[in-house]
This record gives sequence, structure tokens and C-alpha cells, in this order.
Amino acid sequence: MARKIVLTSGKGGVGKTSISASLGISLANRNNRCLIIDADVGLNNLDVVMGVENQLVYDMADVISGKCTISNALIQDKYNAGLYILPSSHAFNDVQVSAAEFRSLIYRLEDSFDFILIDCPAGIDVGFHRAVSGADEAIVVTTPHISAIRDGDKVLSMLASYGLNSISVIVNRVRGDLVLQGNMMSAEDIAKVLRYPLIGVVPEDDNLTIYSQLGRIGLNAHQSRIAVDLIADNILSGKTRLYDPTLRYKGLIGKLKMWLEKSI
Amino acid sequence: MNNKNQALSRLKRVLLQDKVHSYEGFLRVIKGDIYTLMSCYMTVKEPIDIDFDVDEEGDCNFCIRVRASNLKSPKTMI
Repeated sequence: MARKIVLTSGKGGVGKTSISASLGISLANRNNRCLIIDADVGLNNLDVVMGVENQLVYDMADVISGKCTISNALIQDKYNAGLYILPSSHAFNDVQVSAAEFRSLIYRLEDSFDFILIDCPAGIDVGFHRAVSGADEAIVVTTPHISAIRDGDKVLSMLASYGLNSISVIVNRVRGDLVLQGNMMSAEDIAKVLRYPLIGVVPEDDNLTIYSQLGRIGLNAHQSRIAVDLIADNILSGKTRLYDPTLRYKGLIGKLKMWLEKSI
Repeated sequence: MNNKNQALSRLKRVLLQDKVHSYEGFLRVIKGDIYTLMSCYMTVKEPIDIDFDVDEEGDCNFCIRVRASNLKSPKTMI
């Protein structure tokens, strides 16, 4: 039976979809059958980030309405046979997919996969409830910005009432150089304030932006890839090994790198 | 205090404000109640000062400073 993990945030643009996609790839690379569901009905983007938009024929709404079978709608990743994507509709009326229908769809899928990652829409309305109701674990993604952390805190308060098995936090887009200079809160500081365990730290990484816009998020070995691989290991092992975004700015070469980046 | 620590204390304040809805209003209500209570026992001389923060366990630590004179003796109170 699959572990069903919802990736949520509150604030939009913190990197939920990119992290859902990267995490799905990492888990599949570790020989797990993994399904990523785009639960953002009407504002779907997972297909674009994963580079499968051309293969999209049917979507989650078509499965729920009985227009097609689940296997018709699932898209297998072209680079990893164990990774599947269930896209959401770009035109389906949001209220027409109820939480009960979404949950029932997940129950039908849970025996076929080791992991089901649910990419939750931003906000705390119907879409949030629908996505969370299908999960038994939650990861709240935030960035080190106060607005994102504040929304994350509200989402964490709401998640507490869902009776989930675990709730943890990923801090995305951490700038190691700014943390070292004392100009940005560290992921550990943020987790302490939020009072939830940290499961991952992902650095700010231009390569992630570049490759996700090309739809080839899983094909490069960049810093965020290493960070997400550690998150996958943490999910699988229950241990907590975190990426240190300050590491590349430590020592003589690191300081030189930091000085050069600041000068440019 | 560096930018990181300033951001941290601002974040704590923002989250606390969200929980008590109106931080300033919340403090005003507490100050009013403390003034009423303490005025039964003494003459409160200056505006009451309250600081509070949330610790790592999520508990609130209150620090209340009151300057007063003319402490009433128990006999006077009766």
C-alpha cells in the first residue's frame, strides 16, 4: 500500500510543484513505484514541469467523471519506468471534484504504487481540503521569506486537525551565502519557530529554474538535486540528513566564490 | 542585531499577532485589566509595560513592569 504524501504550502510560488516533481524522481530512482498527482484543478502545471504536456490526453477529472480508465490518464515518465504522473485538468470546474471523489480515486491507486505524492494547490480553500483529505502524511514547503513562513504556519495549524501520521517542513530556496553573512534566516531557525520537524533544505538553484522551464527537471546534477535526494532518503529511512547550503561558501574557496558572486 | 535576527524576531511577532488577532489590541486589553487589578492595592504611577515572546515549546513568556506608590496596607483594603 502506498504512502500518500501531500506537498502543500499556503503561499503560491514557493516551489511545491518543482519539489513534488524532483522528489518523485528521487523516490523512483530508488526503485520505488511513484505516482505524482497534480491536485491543482484548473491551474495545472506539473505536466509542464515534468515535460509531459504533449502526452496529456486524459486527466484526473476525466477519470472521476468516468470518461476514461485510470490507466488511460496515467502518464509514464519517459526517463524512469517507475514514475507516473496523473495530470489535473486545466478547464475543469474546481467544485466538481469533491474531496470524497478525490479520496476514492487515491484508494483505487494505492495498491499499485509505493508512494503517491499529491501536489496541493496554493491557498487554504476547497482545493487544499481536497488534496489533504487524500493523504496520510504532509510536507509543508516554505521559503525563508516571512510571507511564505506566515502562510506555512497557518497551513500547519490547519493540518493539525486532519489526524495525519506525520507533518514536516521543507525550506526551499535557501541562500547559503546570505545565511553565512547573517542576512537570511536558516532553515533550522524557521523550523524552530514553526515547531515542526525539518525534513529537507533545498538551496536556491538557478539550474532548477532553467531545467524546469525546459521540462527536464530530472536530468541534471545540480545542488537542489542533491538536496532532494537527501529528502527522499529521509522519507525512506525516517532519519534526518539535511543539505547544508552554506557548505559551498565555507573555507577559502567558498569565501572567494561568495565574494565573486557578490561582485558580479 | 544582524538582519537574520531582526527577521527572526519580526517573524515571531507576525506569527504571534496572527494567533492573538491584534497584537496591539491584545496588549491594550491586558494592560487595562492589570491596571484595574493593581490599582486595588497601590497607586500605579506610569503606563504599564508588557513584553512577551514565544519560546521554542510554544509557551508565552510575559514580562510585566509596573511602577507604583502608596501601597495599601491590608487593613486599609478591608
